[in-house]
Amino acid sequence: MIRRNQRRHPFGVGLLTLVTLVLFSLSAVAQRPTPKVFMLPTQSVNDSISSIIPERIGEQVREGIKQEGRVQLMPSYDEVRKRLDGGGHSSAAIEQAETLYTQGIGLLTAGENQKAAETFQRSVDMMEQNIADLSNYDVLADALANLSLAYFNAKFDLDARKRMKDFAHLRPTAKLDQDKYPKELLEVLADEQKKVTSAGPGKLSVTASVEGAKIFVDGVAKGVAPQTLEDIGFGTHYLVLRGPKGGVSVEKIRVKGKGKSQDFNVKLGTGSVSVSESSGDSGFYNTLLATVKTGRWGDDSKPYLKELGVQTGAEFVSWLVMYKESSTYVAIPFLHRISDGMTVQLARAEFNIELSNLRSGVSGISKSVVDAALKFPEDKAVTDVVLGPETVVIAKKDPVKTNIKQDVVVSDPYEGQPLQTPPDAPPSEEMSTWTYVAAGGAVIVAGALVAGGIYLLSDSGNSERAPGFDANISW
Amino acid sequence: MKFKQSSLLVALLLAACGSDPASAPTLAVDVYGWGPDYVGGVGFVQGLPGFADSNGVQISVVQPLDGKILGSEVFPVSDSSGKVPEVSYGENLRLDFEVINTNGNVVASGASPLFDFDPDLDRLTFRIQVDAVDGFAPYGSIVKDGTTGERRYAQSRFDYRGTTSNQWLGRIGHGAVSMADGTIVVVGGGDPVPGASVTALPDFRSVNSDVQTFEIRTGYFTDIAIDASGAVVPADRLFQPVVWPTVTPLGDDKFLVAGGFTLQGTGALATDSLQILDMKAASGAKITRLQKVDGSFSQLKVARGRHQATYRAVDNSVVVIGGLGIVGADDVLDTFEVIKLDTGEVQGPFPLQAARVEHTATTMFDRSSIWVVGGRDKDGVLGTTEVINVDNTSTVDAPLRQPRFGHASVRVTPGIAGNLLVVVGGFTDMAGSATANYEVGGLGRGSFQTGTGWALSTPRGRPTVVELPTSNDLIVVGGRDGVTDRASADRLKFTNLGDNIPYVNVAGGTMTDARYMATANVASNGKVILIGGIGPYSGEVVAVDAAMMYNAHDPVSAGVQILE
Repeated sequence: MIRRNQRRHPFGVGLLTLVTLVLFSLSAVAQRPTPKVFMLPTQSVNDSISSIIPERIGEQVREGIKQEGRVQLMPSYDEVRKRLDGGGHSSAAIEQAETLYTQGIGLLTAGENQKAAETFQRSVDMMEQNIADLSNYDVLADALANLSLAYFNAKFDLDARKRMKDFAHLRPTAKLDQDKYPKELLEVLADEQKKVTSAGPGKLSVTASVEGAKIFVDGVAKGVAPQTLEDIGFGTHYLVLRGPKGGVSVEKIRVKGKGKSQDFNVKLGTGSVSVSESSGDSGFYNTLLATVKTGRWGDDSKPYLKELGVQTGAEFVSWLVMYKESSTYVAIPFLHRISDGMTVQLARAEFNIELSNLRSGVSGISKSVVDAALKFPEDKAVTDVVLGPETVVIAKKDPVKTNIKQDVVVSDPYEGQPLQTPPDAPPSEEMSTWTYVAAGGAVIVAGALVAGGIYLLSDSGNSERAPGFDANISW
Repeated sequence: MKFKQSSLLVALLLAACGSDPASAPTLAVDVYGWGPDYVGGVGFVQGLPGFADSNGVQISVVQPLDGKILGSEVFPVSDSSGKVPEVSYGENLRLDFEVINTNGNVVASGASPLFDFDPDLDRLTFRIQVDAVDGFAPYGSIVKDGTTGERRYAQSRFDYRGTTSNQWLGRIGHGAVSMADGTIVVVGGGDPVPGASVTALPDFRSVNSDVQTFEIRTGYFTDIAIDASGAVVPADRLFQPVVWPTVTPLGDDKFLVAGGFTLQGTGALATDSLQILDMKAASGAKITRLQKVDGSFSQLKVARGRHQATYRAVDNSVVVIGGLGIVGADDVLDTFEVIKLDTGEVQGPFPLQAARVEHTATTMFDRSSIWVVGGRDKDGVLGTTEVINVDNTSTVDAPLRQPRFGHASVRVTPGIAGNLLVVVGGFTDMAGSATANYEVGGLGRGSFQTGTGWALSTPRGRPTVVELPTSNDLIVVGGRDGVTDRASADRLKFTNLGDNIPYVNVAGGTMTDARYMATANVASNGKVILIGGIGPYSGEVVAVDAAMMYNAHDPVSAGVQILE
């Protein structure tokens, strides 16, 4: 973990220790087993909602369940598999990212620019998420350059420029194929590389909480902390520290250059968070996710859930399914008990489009999942489920078993917004079919809010509040 | 997609960092702008445009209503990001972003809307548009092409969802008022047939019954009659389309829409309607007709349009003054009416000292006296003024130095004076000659004052004028002299009422295309928002349907910090 200018409060640490000891004592007296709950990634019915919404709401619900503290929330499936597989390098995620990168190249060649951009973006996202395990930064750099090109071709020129700048920071002397890349992007590259050159390197003071931590910047070993690095150029880079006992810390940093000092104080744990090599077939897991995503499932999913229980050691599997109903995001939680294969449907939550009611909705879902794991509400058992935008049609376990089909008509999050139609008089070619993306704006805000919510939940156990807020601006 | 990476990265970093007891709540602001791009053009730019000679960026968190600066930092432009740490929580805050050149001058700026940040809030995000100081720029919003899926910044335009095919929403003669949260409400208006003389009542191709909101934060216009499912709710439309109504704020985001012209054939016909617009009401109940206590509908006693109206707090009424009657351009009215909001009763018509149209009417500091200034009647331009008293009589007050109509009057801010009125520009004859002069009068002082140098850079009839909240400078935009529309803006920089020249004219920016008879509102981000108006578009002169802004740069600032 990296902190800058961190201030510690001895009293707070002491108090925390005391509270921990008390809680430990209490738990020892209680002797009550804590149910183990595995949570599937949140899905939207047929990808009907921009993925950022269910992903982040799912993350917040996970955090909420953790904060509840009454059940043991199992790590993600990838994490579980990594732990089972032991140490290693080059995670499955990196492999998948590289596969996506390859697919992106193909799509780009085929002129499928939009799809190529999406594919490269996913590839870059995955590499950045698993940056500690990325050994070949050339793939990341090349993915960034191609992502820039795909964005450019798809007329996302703003994103194209941004990605090209990222590439320039990572590869400040690289040349790109003039036949492949348009003049505009090459100029962006040249300008940004010039900026990197003129700014010169920064002065990065890197310290670690444990001795012997190895420093890597953009995958290049830079010695052992503490260390002052004076050869890292202006711009965005990836700082990774690996402790001698396996602790790893990663951060995407922005180097100011011009010889300016920047301090990075890194706290490393003793446990390993290194990502291991992928092993085994996860086909059942992907099938399970795909089934959930259809919004329709029944008893035929039980074997997959059971397998998941076996692999993860979980007693319960929970999942959240979302869809859009009018201008509302609906989220329905389910909990499956491995031991008898019974699934219950819990109270649905609704989020408005701006996600201004995010906290209460997430809190309600988290609490209902935890409560259900502690006291399984068998009266809410369901068998066949069909989800739609109007209603959730649930067949009760007994005595009736139904499967009422209902088409899922869920709109794109950007649809339903003001449509600019071209008037005849006066002529207006430029208006064309522009559609406002107010919902897009909402998604931006929502994404930020959700991300903020992660802060909220991860910090909600803290008794102290910051004395003020930080205003962070990027331009 | 474009935001996915950053969000995931946030999640990554958070996951990597775990919980940090010292982590502060965050105000996250991204910048886009209108200005020089990096390929030699000018347009919307993600990030900071390449303003010439830009050297530093000063970021301040301020409380503009209280004139406080809560935190401020300066960064080299090349940093591309910066942080103002540990800003005090508070209400009505604003983030100001200023681009400073090597001489220490602010060359571009932007600001967030007003926001609250309390200790329970963990994150708040904004995008802010940064533009050249004293320059015009399209107001940007993110749009998506329905065919290609492309998203990019584009100039904000009216919401067309509720229109029939080929309907054009460009307009003049609309009302533009601000809600408490800074949202601008646009009411009615029409698309005129160009070419009418300055005193004629133009024909209209269309007149609107819609009410649209313009949100400062996103730049989106929204037709309030569109419900959550995208359907049109007829009840949230004006019950008849109107141009040149008055839209008077009543408080609590309620407005009285009075009179105006509706369309009869292609001609404009004055109407007597009185409608209450309640922006806080539920869908389907936002617009109601004003009713008396017996449940019957209230109406003006005299149908009128292009009149003036102002809220009179002392008796909770709206006073409707002068304008044109049903006969048309020569039917200049010499009456006023009083609409009692408590009962829905309409009192009057009461006689004015003179028939007036294109006059101004301003409630003065005592909250009861309404100063009616200038205008014209059917025969000529008026230099007279009169005061409507709370007993509904009208008495003559000091004459203008320069008779004028189609001028602007701004009551000088109470903190400075309170009973002074500055009268700016206007037409001086029925043929459309305009004046650059301004004059200042005090209610009951017997005369208006003017002098050499009390002038705009150019004559302007029907100028659009707003007062800036911090500096009390006046921004004067557009207007016309004779047949020439003005594309420029003047900044009348407030010095001191005791100075030889109380408002010193400082040249403002120039629009790419002139815009005449637009409305102007000072948004909560400090920008002057121009909506509608007449200007060139695709080779024609039309009423435009897009929003533009003028960056008057009116900061709460102790001055610019100089980079070391």
